[in-house]
Amino acid sequence: MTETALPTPAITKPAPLYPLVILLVMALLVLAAFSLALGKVEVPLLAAAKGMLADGPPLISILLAEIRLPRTLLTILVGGSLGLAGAALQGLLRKPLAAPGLIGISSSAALGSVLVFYFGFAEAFFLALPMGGIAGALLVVLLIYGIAGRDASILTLILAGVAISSFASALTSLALNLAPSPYAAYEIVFWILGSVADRSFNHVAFVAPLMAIGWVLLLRTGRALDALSLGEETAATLGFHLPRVRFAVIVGTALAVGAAVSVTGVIAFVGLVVPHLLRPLVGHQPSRLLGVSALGGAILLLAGDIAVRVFSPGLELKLGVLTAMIGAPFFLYLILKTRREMR
Amino acid sequence: MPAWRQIRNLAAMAMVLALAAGPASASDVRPSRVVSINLCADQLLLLLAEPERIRSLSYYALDPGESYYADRARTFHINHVTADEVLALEPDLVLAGVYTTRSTVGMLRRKGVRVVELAEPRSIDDIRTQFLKVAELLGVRERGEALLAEMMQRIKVVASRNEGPKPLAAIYFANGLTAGKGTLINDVMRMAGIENLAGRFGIEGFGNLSLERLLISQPDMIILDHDTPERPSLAGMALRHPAFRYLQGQTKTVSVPRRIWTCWGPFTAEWVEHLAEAKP
Amino acid sequence: MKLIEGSDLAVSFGNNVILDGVDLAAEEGELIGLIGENGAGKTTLLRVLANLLPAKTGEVRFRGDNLHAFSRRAYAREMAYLPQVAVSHWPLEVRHLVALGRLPHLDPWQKLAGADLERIETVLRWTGTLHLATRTVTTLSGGEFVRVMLARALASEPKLLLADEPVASLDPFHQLQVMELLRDIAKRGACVLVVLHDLALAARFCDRLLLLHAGRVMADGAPEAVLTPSNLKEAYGIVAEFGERDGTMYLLPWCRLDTGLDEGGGKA
Repeated sequence: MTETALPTPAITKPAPLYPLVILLVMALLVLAAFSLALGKVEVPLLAAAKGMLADGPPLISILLAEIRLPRTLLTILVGGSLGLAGAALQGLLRKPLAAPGLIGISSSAALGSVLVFYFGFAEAFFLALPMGGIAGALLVVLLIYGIAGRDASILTLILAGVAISSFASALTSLALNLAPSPYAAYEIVFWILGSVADRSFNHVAFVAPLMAIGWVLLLRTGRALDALSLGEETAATLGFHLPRVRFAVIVGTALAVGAAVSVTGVIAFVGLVVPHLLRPLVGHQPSRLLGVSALGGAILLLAGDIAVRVFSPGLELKLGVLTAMIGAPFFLYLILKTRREMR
Repeated sequence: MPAWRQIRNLAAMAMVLALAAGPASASDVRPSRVVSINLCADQLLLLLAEPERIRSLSYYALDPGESYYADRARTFHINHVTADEVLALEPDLVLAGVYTTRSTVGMLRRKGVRVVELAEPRSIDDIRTQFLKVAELLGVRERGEALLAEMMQRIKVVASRNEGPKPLAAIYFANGLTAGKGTLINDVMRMAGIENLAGRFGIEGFGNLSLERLLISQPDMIILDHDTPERPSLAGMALRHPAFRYLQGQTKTVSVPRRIWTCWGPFTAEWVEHLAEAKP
Repeated sequence: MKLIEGSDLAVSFGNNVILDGVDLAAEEGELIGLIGENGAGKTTLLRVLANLLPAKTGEVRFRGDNLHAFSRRAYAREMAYLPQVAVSHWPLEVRHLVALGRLPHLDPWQKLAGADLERIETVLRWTGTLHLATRTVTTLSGGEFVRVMLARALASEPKLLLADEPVASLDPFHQLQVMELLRDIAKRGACVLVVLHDLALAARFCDRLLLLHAGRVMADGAPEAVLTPSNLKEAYGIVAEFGERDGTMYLLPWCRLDTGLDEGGGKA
């Protein structure tokens, strides 16, 4: 066996990621502009931009600055968090069906938020509300990792998720019924289906710092997730300290998803659909999937929120209804696809 | 609610009760063991029936936030809107709502209990019809007519003062709920001489008013179903939104307590007065 | 100084003693076969040497220093481990999978550079998988997959290669190819420790054999010295046929002891 042999096609660098990233960023910007411009009230953006500078009637600028802008930003942050956390979790557990919504993380984050919010702890200190969501999420990620971390089957993972989700939803419902506010019981729809309607910059300020920490934790695990493609032992012999990787993904997911749910309720399926659609475009490499999944999640959620505002007549649909209408059939398709593996 | 009005209401009620006491005993077909399993039926029973004929009220009647006569309900037997509980009370008439307790009502009817379902009134006229129907059921038509006359009189007084341009008002109840054509709220606003913003958007029945639309429509007044509550809720949080705060700074806001608008009856007149007084 | 040394290594799970006072030492340039019956502790020993499993007693030294003195990453630059059941959880392209072997040499955000790509190409050529470079691993045959996984292990330029039954699922052609490759790697100056069940291949290719039996080293030395009839009887409970070609011994496991067939070996 000689290595000085024939001239062969040299191994080239992996195709660069930036064309895809640029494409996604452009889509994100276009959708963000639409998100600012579209809604029940149409805003002539250019005129509005001038209006914000000049001192005309302030209504349009208030509408943009206090309603549309926080809504758009929050949609991007939440969509990005869900997409990123989905990609990271799938990388850690090496399972394409391990999305935050499916394995019960989102619903327990909702439970945590509901407990903090309705029983008056949200006013206790600045970040109490997102912390509640994060605590709920953290509990379940740890539980799921305990169940699935040691190479449990996809079936175990999803069944555990079903059990956790329905348990958390039931407790959420109970908490809302017991909550002192007479409105609480009616507000379960928000927590279970999720919405970004009429949020304010307060919400952005609540979640942005905690999400940012989560994002950093998750994005830094890319190389380790690549190594985990080869299984835990091989990853360890490639020089990765697995407990540290697990910690980063678990805490990062809890921070990103927990904070997101605490201000928008459960928006299902984003973390499942987005990484799955983008994975083939990045050669199935977990590290390359992270950033683009964040972008993809933001894009999907922006598009969904625009659709909800433009197409729902009368009563505005909850955003989670729309993502579920896209996500649930997709999930079924994935199950059919992975059925062989589940047997 | 101002104290004087409460006193006036009670006085009117006392008078009506006194009037009704006499001829009532004449008829023996009058139901004497009436059970209500609906919040609004609770209110009507408390208004129209003698206490000894009220066998039981629904537990909603005790909630001071929702029930206009919550104080008076306390002395009565309370049921939890289940068929077995109601059957055990051996009622000769059960009053129920149309929407929420279908299966309970079905069960009671199968057991031979007389159940009357009260539809939700969509106008003040509906209130008159319904109210008289219930009064007749209970065999207290005269008392019902007297109470109604008083209500209509109060509304007429308000309506007679309506002149000039109607202010535009937005119903912005908890979590963006609004009411358009074909709702009692719409009719109450009409009587109070107020234009309903929801009408401009073609909303029929109950619908959703986004903060965006509310802001951009610049109504003359905003009608809330609650003040910023001390108990945290999303509904309360919405009232702290900066855009709403801005609007509130520019616009008259008035809140209608839930116990007035959730149900209907003579106290609906109070609602009309309340709105009319709040006009900017 | 030996490249890797283990002294008095013991591992047990509960009351189950897996390794019991194992000593071994290996130098660069050696191809060492780790043989023994199922459950003898071969895989466990390999995992201890790969720093995946702590030994209960004893110590592992790499270049004279205790393994604990190395960071995971530093050791990963020296040692590559090929597990018994290698997997790729995602349908990666072959070249991307092999590139994972370069991870110990890359900083967290550092991209593959020319030297990395050259190394990847080299190991693909060694393992005869260069033509598969852009194939998806899920489309490979079993033999191709094993060779690709071996290429991944070699990509990090290991001084020590620990391979757990790399030829178990291969046809004879590819078994020979992989064994030749391992010998070649050893010749280039690496130390290769390979778990083998095929005694014929072990005898044919390995410089040294380490025979484990019930968690202890039963024999350690040249194939002729280790694969003696009495050792095979005791460790495996089998009888083998021996032969010789071009000065190299070969053997063929012939029958089990408890079948009662005698060593002269009639037809079974």
